Amino acid sequence: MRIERLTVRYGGFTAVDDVTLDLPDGHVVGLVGESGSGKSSLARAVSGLVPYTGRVVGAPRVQMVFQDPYASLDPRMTVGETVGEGIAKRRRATEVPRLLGLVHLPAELAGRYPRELSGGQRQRVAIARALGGDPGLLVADEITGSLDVSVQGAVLNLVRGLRDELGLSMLFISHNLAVVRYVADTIAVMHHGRVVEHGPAEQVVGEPAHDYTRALLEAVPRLRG
Amino acid sequence: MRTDSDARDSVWRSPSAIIGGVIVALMAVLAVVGPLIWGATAERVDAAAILQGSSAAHPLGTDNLGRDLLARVLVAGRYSLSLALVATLIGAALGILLGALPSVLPRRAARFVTGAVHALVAFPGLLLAMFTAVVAGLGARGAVLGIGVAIAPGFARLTQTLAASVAGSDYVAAARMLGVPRRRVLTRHILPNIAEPLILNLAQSLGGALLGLAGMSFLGLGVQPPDFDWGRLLFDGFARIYVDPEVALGPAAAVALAGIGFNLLGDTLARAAARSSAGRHQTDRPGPPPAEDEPDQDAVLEVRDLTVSFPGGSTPVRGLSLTLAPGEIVGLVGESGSGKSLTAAAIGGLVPYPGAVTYARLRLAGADVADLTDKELGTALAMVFQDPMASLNPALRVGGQLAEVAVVHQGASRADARRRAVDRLGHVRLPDPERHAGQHPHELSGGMRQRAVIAMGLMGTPRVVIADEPTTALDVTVQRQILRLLREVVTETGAALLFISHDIAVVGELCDRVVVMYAGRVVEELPADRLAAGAAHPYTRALIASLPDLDTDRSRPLAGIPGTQPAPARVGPGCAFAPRCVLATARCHGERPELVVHGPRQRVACWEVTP
Repeated sequence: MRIERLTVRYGGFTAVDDVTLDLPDGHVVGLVGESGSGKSSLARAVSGLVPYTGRVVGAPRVQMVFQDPYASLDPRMTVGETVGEGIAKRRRATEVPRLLGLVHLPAELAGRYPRELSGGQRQRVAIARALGGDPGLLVADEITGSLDVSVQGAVLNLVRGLRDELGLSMLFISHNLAVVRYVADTIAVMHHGRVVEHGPAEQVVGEPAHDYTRALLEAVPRLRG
Repeated sequence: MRTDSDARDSVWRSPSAIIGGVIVALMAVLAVVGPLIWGATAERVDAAAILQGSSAAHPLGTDNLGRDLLARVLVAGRYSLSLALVATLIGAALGILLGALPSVLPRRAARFVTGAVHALVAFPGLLLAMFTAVVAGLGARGAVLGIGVAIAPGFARLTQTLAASVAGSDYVAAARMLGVPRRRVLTRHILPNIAEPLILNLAQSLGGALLGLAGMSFLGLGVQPPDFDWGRLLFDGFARIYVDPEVALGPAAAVALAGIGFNLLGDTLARAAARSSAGRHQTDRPGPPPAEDEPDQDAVLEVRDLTVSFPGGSTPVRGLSLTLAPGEIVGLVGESGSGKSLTAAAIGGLVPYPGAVTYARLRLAGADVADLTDKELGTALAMVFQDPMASLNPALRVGGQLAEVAVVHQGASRADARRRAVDRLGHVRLPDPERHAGQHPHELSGGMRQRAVIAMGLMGTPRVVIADEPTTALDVTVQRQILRLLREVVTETGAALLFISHDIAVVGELCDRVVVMYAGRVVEELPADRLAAGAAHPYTRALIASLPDLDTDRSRPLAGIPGTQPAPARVGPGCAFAPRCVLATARCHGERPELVVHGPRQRVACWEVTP
């Protein structure tokens, strides 16, 4: 899978500027950058939600998981209806419990409404819905950004588990370098709409080549002592 | 849940709701039984009593065939109300169709429909109604169609606006990616999520339709004899208004009363749906007794036994105590719902209604906060919030807003205040302060806005700065700059800083001392440099363990904490963390541990780590 010379323009503003990025099968590619760097626009372009020029080669069935699990589930639909949305009717009865199982949620949750769930549970439901679309590529846009730290760990473990078990290819976007490093195989750093560095996770974090990457790394808060 | 239903009950018990409900109920009864009881009287022609005024036999007089007008008004209720109902339904159906079309049509057609709706909204409703009525032919059918068409643009506009906001939501984007067809998105996602406000609008439109129809009949465009509705009766009686005013006033009163009833009911429905969380019954919780001992002379902020509660048994902050020394940076860390932000709000006197705040002691800069005037409190305490746009008025220039502080709190002259504002903006290292002072908040970046808010706090001489998640909305590189700025401010002014955050790494990096909150209580207090190695409470340790950093072992799963924090109304008698704790014993579930000293400058509330 490959993103080739992709450009996203909003009026006169170029959000993503001629980005070429390899997304190897079964790999998690981490995408970091600050707000306005174009990472979310790139994600939305790859998912077909905003118009773009350039090509996305060999990425059938892209599904996306959004940042805010409180806004990404229809409040009037049960968990089962949400998860089953992209599945043919006759397969729903067997598929919904299987998908809930994949994200480690009990099948009984299918009858509940989003308001009865915690933030972490909602994000799992959103992941299950995306998996229901049998994605060739899963785009995860800041999926732990609005979760508490104690819940974030479990969701990150789930993401890694899904890659290992299902061989899922993923574009994992976050402004948090530590989170991206933990989840991703390779890390791409975006700055002003361009990818300024892309390499194996440990290498980008350990021996950053670009000044901007170094600045990002330096700003990551760390516990002392 | 109780507060919710309480609030709804109180809406329904308000005088306007009762009056509206009673009127509408009466109208409904009248529409059903009116023609059955008075039908014959209303049609009885009496040549001996033509065009009479009010009398004992005919309280509202008679018409030109001697028919009793009171009976005719009572009988006309059914016809008037059903016409209004049909007109409203036509208008709503037409409007919702027009409003929803753009979400399923191709782009160009959608734009055309939207434009048409905008044009129709701008067109006077009554003209639209009359035009339609004339085209459709005189009579009840024309009038109903006319009013329906007049109501439709409003409905279309409302539907369009509501549908557009739902159509932009993430769950609709997700559905589109899953290949759900547009029509199905409309029926499954959009319509159910906008149904409630549309139904409310329906109730309110009913009153309008009734008045509109009466108006049409009055103009002679509506109901034609021998049929009659209230508007027609008004039209017939109007010619005699100078002789026998009661013949026109009867039907007019009926129209007005029904219109008022439907509008009041519509308002009530709208208010009940808004679900204001303001409870009716304020639970008067007795506060703790004032602290007897001497106040801490070294502290610039001393909080003792602070409790914030809301009606319905929800107590988000429970007996919290906190002391800040001058020049000290204390981090208050906890997950969402731990009560950390409400603690800040309570210190600043900003807890929203109907929250109740009690404390044994709350002293700021050597004085009881209760004795401070708003002005003194505003000068001694500065607050910085997560969203700088919430603290800045978008309509005013940045410099002017800062100057306002000096004018109001310090009585400075405009020119002095302005000079100080520019000086303070420079102080927080806003580049080119002179120019930025003349700009509006939206022209500044997020980091610059947060600097401006901090500068605003520095307009006075704050002894305590409370910063509630001030860097959460900012990028890491900007966050780093703001943290550095906050530290400089503390070093320079000697003020104490209470830094509230969910991010224990940020807190650990910036602060001298860390206070960890869970479910409204402090569970641990320790020096920040001991966080990594010396944290004792299982919750603090779990929080730190679940935080990935740049050295986390990628081959091992991340630690997390199973379960969720109890809601503020559901905190049990024991340790609130016990259900999620690996060390918990029977004692933890039944008995709450107090905060006790555990090593140098460290206090912990846990049965298992303190003997």
